[in-house]
Amino acid sequence: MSRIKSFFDKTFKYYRRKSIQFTISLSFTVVAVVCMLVMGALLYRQFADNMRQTIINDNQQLVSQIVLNINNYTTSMRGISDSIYYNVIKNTDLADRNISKEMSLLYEANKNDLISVACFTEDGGLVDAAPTTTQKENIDVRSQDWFVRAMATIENSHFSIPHVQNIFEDSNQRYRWVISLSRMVELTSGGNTSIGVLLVDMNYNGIETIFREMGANSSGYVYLIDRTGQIIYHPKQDLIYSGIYKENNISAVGYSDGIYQENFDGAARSVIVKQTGYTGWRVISVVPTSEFTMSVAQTRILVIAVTGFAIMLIIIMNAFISSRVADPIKKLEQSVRDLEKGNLALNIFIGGPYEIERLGKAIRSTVDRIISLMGDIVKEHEQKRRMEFDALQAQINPHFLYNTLDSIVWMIESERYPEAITMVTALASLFRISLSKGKNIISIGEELKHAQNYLHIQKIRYKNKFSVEINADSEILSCGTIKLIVQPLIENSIYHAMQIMDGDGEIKINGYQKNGGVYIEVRDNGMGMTQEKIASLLEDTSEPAPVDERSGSGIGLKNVHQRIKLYYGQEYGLEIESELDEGTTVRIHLPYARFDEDA
Amino acid sequence: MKKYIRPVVFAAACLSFIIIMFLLTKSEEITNRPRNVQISVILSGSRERWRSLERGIYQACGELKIEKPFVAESDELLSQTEQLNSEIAKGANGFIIFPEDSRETSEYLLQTGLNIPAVIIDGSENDSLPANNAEMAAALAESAAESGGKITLLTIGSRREDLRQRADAFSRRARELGAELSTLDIGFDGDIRGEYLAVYFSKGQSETVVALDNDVLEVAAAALPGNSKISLYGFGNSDKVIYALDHGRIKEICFQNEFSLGYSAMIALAEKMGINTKEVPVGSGDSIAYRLISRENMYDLETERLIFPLMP
Repeated sequence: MSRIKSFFDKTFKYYRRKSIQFTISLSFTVVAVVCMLVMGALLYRQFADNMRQTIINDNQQLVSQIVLNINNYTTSMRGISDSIYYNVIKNTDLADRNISKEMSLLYEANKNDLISVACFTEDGGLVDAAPTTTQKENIDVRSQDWFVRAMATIENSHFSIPHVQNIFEDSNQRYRWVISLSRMVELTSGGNTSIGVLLVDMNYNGIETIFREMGANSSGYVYLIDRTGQIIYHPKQDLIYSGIYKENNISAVGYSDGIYQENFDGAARSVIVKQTGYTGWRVISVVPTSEFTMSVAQTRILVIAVTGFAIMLIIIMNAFISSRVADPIKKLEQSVRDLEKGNLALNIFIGGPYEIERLGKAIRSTVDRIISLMGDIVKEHEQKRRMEFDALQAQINPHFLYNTLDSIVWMIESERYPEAITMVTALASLFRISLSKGKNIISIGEELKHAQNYLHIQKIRYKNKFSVEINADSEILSCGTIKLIVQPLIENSIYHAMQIMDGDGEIKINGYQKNGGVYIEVRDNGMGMTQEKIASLLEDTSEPAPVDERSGSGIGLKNVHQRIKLYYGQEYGLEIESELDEGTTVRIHLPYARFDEDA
Repeated sequence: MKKYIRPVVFAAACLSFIIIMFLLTKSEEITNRPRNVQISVILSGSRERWRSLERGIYQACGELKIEKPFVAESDELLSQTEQLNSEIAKGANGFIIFPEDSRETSEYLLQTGLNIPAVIIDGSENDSLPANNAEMAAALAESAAESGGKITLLTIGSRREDLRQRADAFSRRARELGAELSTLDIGFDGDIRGEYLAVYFSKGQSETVVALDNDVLEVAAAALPGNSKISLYGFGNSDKVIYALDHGRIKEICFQNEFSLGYSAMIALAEKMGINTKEVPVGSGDSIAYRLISRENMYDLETERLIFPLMP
């Protein structure tokens, strides 16, 4: 059982692995071939049964017709016998005249069917015969079967089996096969009555002709036996007499009228039996089963040929149709396979049936979208890389560095060593955080510290033209952010707002959490800006924000804004609020996410 | 599609080939027409003499569903080899031959190199039918010996193997039985042969005369005087022989079933020609039956069925 299951599993597995064309073609072919074979077998069986029945019916009709003909023939012969007896012999006193004239007349009238007619006394003496001929010497008719039977049963006509007539000389030295019809007759001679035998020798050819003509087109063959099973006619009579062929004639005596199935000499056959009237002979039609087979052989061959051609046609048609169906799918599959190999430049197949065409279009659209997205990704990466480069460049902005170092030199020359040390320390801290071991994400605490260092340096450089206030909720200090986003805002405030202040400038940095987000505000009390200016500052252009080296670190608001959006999404970034003569607040909106140093 | 075109076309071609071969091999079955064979039967003597044999051949042809053969009797102007040559030229592709000269016929067939299937019925080793000439001759010798007196064996110096076998077997068996046996060579022209025998019979030099050939037996029966006490024995099948037997001119004949001989010869030839004989009755395969027939038993049912043609 498990082997069968395993076989089927393997078969189905193998089948599933095959191409759609193979599957369609094989499935259709198998179904069609099975259907054709079943239909062919059913039709053939139906036809064979009909053919068998037709043959049986035909042979039944044939047998009935032959029986009718034989009855007519034997009745005719008995009529001749009766005519001779009742019209001639009974009315004649043989002592007065012979009966040769009347017998000759009757003989001449029926000579196609007769060999001779003769009358014998009970001791075998010839009374008269027609045609006129000589009786053979040394012939004692009393020993012959027809004579014995006539004498044995009075008032009956007796038909013999075929035999060679052995009574008369034949001028042509011929020996004639006859069927003898004999009967006992009453002879009158000189007023005295005695018994004798009237013999009518029927030409055997008469019987043979009936069978030959009627049985010529029948299936099988038809033969004739007498009451004892002796063969009277058989189409293979010579073969039977020579012992070459055997017939089931003796057993057939036991058959009454009807259809029988028998096995004889190793062959199955159908037998139709019908008895003739007076003689009790049986006409037997034999149809060997092989004959049925032969009869339906043409049909079988025709069915096989037609089925074969149909199967061939189906195979070709299935191959063609499956190819028509599968080819577009295969082409599309090939396109997808090429796509899998990374070849995005290929031309996706679009064609075939509507569904496949739609699929092709969908895949092409998807590929186009992928190409577009990949372009975007590449562009974004390029942008990120460039902005990070800009940010890094900002860390070493030559102007800033030069100015800072210049300030330090000036402090040292002024022997303001503690301030110089503080500034150097702040600068070092600034660069340390800027580098952050190459990391792009740092904690907000570090970012604010970086801002603080930066402000510290700038405050020294700008001689405390402004004051600084940094407040941040402690819970956001451990949150992560991309680095160097606060410094550019402070730088903007310093360059655009604090330069014109005279000691009353204020820069306030507030960090807090709100609505699940983190906000860092850089607020100054500068001269503010118009709404148009605000809009232009954060305007989304495809080009990265230019670096203005003259303005501090050169990293603009736009750079920060775009970097935040690239890293955290479109909902994050900068918001600017400004009032002319009141000041400006730039608010950084970041997601609330804990900084993980190892991430 | 291109990938599958070749295998599909190949499969279709194979299938077509199988179907065509199937139809060709079954065409005879489909059309039920006689097989296309051209067989010639070359006899020794007249067709009249071989009627039973001819019927046997025709019966076999009917069973085999093949064309009836052409039957050629002896031709005064042509030898048997010339007749053979003529039939080959006409396209005969199978022969049944009753040779006048066994060796010459066999050698001629070999010389043609055509390897034409042939059944030569002469009782020789080349004969594919079971030969029982010796057995028949011995049986006839026993009957002849019973009649007593001197036995004269008529010989014609024939080069036929079957006659040689019969003569040898008859002589051997007759001598075994103590019969006085002599031979009389009448191997000259047929017309003179009758006159010669008439004179011989009139001299009463022998009580029993035996002819080993149908033709010789016919001549001897015709030459025998009506009141002769000579008992005539011999091999024969012809109507003349049967008539002579029926009228007491011949005492006893050894009758070989020539219908069966013809039938078996045709079946044997068909097998040599590769014609299927499976569906055809072929009898027991024993040797061709023979029967010793006298005037007394010739009308027995079994005997008359053999010696009188049923459908002339």
